[in-house]
Amino acid sequence: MTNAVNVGIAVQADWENREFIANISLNIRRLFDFLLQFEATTKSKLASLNEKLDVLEHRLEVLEVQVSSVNTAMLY
Amino acid sequence: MTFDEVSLERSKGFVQALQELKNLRPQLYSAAEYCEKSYLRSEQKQMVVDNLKEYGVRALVNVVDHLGTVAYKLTDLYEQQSSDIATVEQKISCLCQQILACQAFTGEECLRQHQLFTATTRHRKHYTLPKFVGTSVESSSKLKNHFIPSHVEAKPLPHTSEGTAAPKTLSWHLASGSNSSPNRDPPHAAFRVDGSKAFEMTDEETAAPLPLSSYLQAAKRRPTINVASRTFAVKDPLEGAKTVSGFESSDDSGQREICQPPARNKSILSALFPRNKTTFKPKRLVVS
Repeated sequence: MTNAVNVGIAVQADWENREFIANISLNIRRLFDFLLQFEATTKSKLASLNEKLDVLEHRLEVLEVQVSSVNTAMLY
Repeated sequence: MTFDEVSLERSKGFVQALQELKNLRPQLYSAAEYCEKSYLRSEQKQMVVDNLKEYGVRALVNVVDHLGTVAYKLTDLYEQQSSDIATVEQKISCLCQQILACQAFTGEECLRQHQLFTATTRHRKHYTLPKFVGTSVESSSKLKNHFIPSHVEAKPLPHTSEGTAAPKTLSWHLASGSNSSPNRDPPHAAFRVDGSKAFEMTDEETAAPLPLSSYLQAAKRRPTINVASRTFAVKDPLEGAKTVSGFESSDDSGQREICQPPARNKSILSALFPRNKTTFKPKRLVVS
């Protein structure tokens, strides 16, 4: 009788532990999904920022060339 | 704090949060090893498991908190950088517009300077009054003095000091319109000329024929009428018909009335645009 009760208690504890582990695992997976999503969005934002910077850099180069040509024209 | 210092603080906070998140990994690994060893060594395994559960939950919460901090700081940094890029883009567009405006302005200035060097308009001599209007008036007055019904002489206007024939008709008309001498009838008035009158006309009237002299000629000769055209031929019994000038005359009559010439505009126009620059031979004509 006592053995059955002990086995019952042990099984119940095991189930609780398993439930706890399952909850922990689920939350860790949610955290992992959040990290993946965060990484994708951050990557896209940084890529757009990099593209804007490239465009601005090209425009600045064009302006620099124009100004230098005007300066050379003024000198001559 | 300046703008650069604020951005520096933000970047430092992000880096610090990221570093703390990175430091959580060895802490969690060390905690997991300690719990494993304690569970194996101790006799009260249930208590170790309970402690392990609580530590696991707190560690997970701590990691989530750190991750949230890192994400928040990274998003803040990204927004700052994007605003900086927007301001730089605006400044660059302003520079582009300024350069375009300078280019347009320089182009317009160059065109304006080129236009300044273009040739000015030239007017025909007919439309420019001569400088010697006074002298032409005097000459025309002399001409008027000689214009006497008994003896008529038509002398051409003297040449200018430059040696070129002056635009006589316009100045002459102006002078005739301004001066009103009693001895002289205005050119547009009707007058009667006897047949015995003689006049001579020099051949210097080649640049522009004088309407008054033409009137005189018409008075003393037999003008052949060409009503359709504005020119009339003056018949010289010796030399034939010659076109003298342009004005319309009335019918050929014995009284040799020279009718009033047409409107002054027509005479001016006909004088301004002479058709023939024929040379006249000076002759004395006697009309019976």
